[in-house]
Amino acid sequence: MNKPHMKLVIAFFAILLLSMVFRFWQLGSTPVGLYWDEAAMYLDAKVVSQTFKDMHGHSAFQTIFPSYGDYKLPIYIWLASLSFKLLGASEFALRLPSAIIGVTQSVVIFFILRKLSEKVYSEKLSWAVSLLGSFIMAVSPWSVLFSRTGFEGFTGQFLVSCAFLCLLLSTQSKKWLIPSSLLAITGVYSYYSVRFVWPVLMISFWSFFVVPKLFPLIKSPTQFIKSALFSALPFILCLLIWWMGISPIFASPNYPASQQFRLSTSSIMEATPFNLQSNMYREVTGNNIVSRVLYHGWFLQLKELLENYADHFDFNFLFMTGDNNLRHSTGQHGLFLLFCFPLLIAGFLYQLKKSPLQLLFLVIWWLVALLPASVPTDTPHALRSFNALTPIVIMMSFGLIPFYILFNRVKSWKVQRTILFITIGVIGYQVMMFAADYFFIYPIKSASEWQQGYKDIVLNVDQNRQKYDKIWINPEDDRFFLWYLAYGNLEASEVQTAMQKELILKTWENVEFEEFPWDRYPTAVRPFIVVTRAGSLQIKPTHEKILYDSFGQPKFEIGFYDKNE
Amino acid sequence: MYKKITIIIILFSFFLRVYALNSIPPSLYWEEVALGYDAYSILKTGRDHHGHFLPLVAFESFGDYKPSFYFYSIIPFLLVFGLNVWAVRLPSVFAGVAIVYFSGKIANFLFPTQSQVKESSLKEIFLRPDVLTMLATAFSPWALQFSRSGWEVNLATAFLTAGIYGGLLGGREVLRKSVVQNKTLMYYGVSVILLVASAYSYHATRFIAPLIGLVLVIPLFQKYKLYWKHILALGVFGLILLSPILLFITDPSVGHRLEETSAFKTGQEVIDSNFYIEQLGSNVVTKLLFHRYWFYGKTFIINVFSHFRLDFLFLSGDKIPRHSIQYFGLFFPTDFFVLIAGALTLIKNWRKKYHLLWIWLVIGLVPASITQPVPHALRTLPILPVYMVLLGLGFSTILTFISRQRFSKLITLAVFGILFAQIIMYWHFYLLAYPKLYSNDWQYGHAQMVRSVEKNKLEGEKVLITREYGRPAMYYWFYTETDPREVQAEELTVPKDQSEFLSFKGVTFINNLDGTQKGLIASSPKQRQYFSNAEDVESISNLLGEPIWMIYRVQ
Repeated sequence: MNKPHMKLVIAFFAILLLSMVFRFWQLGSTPVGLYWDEAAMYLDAKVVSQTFKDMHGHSAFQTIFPSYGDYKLPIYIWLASLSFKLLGASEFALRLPSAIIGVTQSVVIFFILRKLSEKVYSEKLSWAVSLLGSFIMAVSPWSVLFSRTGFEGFTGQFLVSCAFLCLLLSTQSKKWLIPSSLLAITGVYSYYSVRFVWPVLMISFWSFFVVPKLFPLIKSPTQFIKSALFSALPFILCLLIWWMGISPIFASPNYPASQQFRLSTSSIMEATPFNLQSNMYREVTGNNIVSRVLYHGWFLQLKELLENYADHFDFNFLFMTGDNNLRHSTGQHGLFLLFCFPLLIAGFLYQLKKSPLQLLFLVIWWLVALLPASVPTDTPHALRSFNALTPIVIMMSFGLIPFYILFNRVKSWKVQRTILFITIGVIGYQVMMFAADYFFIYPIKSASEWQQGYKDIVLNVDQNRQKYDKIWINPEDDRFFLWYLAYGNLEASEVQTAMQKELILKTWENVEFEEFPWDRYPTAVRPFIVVTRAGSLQIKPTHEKILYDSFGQPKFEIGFYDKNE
Repeated sequence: MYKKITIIIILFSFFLRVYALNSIPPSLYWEEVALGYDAYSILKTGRDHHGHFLPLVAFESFGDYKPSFYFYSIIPFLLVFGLNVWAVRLPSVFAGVAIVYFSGKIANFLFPTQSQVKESSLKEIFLRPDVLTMLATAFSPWALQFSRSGWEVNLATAFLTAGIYGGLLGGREVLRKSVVQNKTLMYYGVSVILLVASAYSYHATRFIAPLIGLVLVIPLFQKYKLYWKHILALGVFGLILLSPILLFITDPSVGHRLEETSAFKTGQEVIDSNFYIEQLGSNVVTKLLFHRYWFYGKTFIINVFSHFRLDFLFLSGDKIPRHSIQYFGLFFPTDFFVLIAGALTLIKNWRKKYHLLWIWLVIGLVPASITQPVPHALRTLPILPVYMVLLGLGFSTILTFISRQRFSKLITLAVFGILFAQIIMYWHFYLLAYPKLYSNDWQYGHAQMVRSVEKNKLEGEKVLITREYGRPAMYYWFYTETDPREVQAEELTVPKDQSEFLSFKGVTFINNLDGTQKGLIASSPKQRQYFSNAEDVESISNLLGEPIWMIYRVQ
């Protein structure tokens, strides 16, 4: 690489700074609480950091953590444990690995884009494209939101990006294939869906980045086939290494249960509804051979899959509203800010003309990344489609080039300056609006999605646990025990004892994680505490504490029923 | 040869639109019945059923003020066929055929054939974008859906397409000739008439047609020194023709529909804006940055782009079963690739005149995007020809590319095989499944119910028909061919819901029954349960065999 212009280096660090601000500012308090997966991870990481064993007392070096029955992969729990070891258990420490990964990804995408563009375009343009990619990554709501929470999927896709960078470097030196495979293995240990993405990515990379380079060198078809096969050998070897590397996951005693859990999500693999629909279509169309072929259940399943895919290409999902789930989106912004839309279109068209094979590779990456997200029926899904982040950002970044060419055609500097001013203004406005929305509005609007109030319940109740005979907690969530064990004043060994044989805890010592039986109130042994939704205490307590939601409305009620009444 | 092929395509597209028209869609929807009966009323009395003399801008109808042209277009068919399905739907059929023809002509204008040979070979003809545009439109699920029932929007789209073609011809004359010619004015004059007719046919085209008209006269403005008189004359001509609409722009007859369907009527944008300002501190900056207009703009953009959803376009279509058959989108699934090929070809060979297409697209999406629900296949129908032209161009590009390959015949055969399979699937579903599965959406059973009531009604007996399924009064008049004078005579005396009659000469159109009513009653099986002592007269089922109407007598 040539020595870059100082201004570009400054721009790079400015983007990094922006990326850090978006990821580290108020990290512990925005989002306002831990949702259940994070709470489970918090608990596991807290226990692992103290005992090197998980909440169930199993070794921390297991390939699948049973957690609360959702069977988590280990990488993020290990990272969070390390963070807890260094900083102590807190929401900030839990989310810190993700935030660091988010910032690092802005660097990784920069180098990916540099590798893809450095020999094709001028140094300045290559830097500009790479900086743009870095900037998009830094301010993309998709990346920002998931950088600030303990979602394993974010780590998984980041490791795939790193592995892809190594693949790009392997075109110069084959030794890069080894770290690439190792990163891809680690990726699978972070997030299940990476196992679908990586082999396709490897094969596509060989097909579109390695094989085409053989064309000018080879004279006869036979020689070409030989060379192509020869060039495939290291890739095949790496895929084998990768497969061997991830096989401990399949050998895990928790693997069958983990698959059962994943398949329990409503998905298009469930044939019954399609067969019923198919039967109805056949029935009304005469139930003959033609109708049996035309309305076969497979057609209907394929149609549903395509519809689910289509949801992920919806403009509004990508640029305006995002995922319906407020944990995955602010509801006011898409996965990317609106200014990225023209870049995506321009990038697609430009690469179609100039580097169609690269485009094809990116499209395949995008499509395969959407497969795990499109099989379940709740689409579009920002989390499950996360592996598409990098290819989309690459595509958008190349969209700068046609605009750059057009911009340079403008002769007048005044006009150029005006265009620049407007462009920066528009982008700046969008970034600022997103920041304002995310840091000031989103915490209020999304509070209930982040189980706001659960931690307060635990803190209020746990300090009184010894004084009361019984505590009944019913915030209408059977996973509430996770928050209790995570935030309560419990030793790691106590957690492990409680969870030794349980995935869902119904009772622990004098705490019942279920609704208070009001019909048994007259005979209930006092003193006791009842926690419930605000307004649900059927009998007036001795004294009570109300917990309010982000809009200032009563959300939970803690009723203290003392002995003296 | 080209002409023969064009005629064959036109005849074939007519056949596709007219085949089994009286039974698929399975019955007349209430809007169709309203169109038919008011047209009948005009024919018989010169007034609509409310007694308004020859309404020009809109018919009051159910209080939704339908634009007037479609009513008048039904009249010639009433004279031939009488008051029935054919008369109501045939104007739309002919409009559909006109859309096929004029979409092809626009494609021909935009992408003139390169062949200098007068008598082109069959292969050359079938590689032409205009021929392929006509074929694509002829088979288009979107075009067919709205051409096979009485939709005002289809007529409006036909006028709009023809008007645009006229305007394009006028523009070409202006740019070609250095001297003013009467032919130019004639093209533009006809174009203005057609565009105005479009504005009188459908709500959305009141907005679309004048704006497109302005785009079409850009060539005149480019030579304004030479053509200023023409510009003035056309402007005055257009304004005079549009003046009834412009004069009533604040009247319910023009604005009512927009108010009723507005995308902003929930006021969510104002609530959001206030919330942001309140949370971030009310000052000039926040009031500016979070002004409600930003939120309106956002809703508008969301609505615009919802019309490009891939599932809407290629897989499942409009959620309303009357607008899409649900098993297919507005296009066949493989049209996705063809449209991309068309768009890329267009971008690659960009000419100034192609600007028309995206301007048409953008203007055409506005009315549908300021209303709810979205995406909406009906309100966006005026942009159908844009897509069709792109499809034609895309097919032309793909087939031309294939024709240059080594196994061109084999590949062409495979491509046509895939297209043919989709067409077969579409028609199989459309003819056999769609009418049965969605007969309720087409108000199937009303005709049978009215005939049954008429047949079984005793002299002087009170009749009650429930309004559960919609607007029974209009069906009653339509299928009994009630003399419109009798309806007009009751205009001022009967109770109404908005403008819908709630009773007519001993027949009461009632919302809900409670078991106390007496007489001959037509209701759903659910409401029939209130009457344990009723004597059943007839039961009417939908096309899936589920009972929908019960006719019974309570003494």
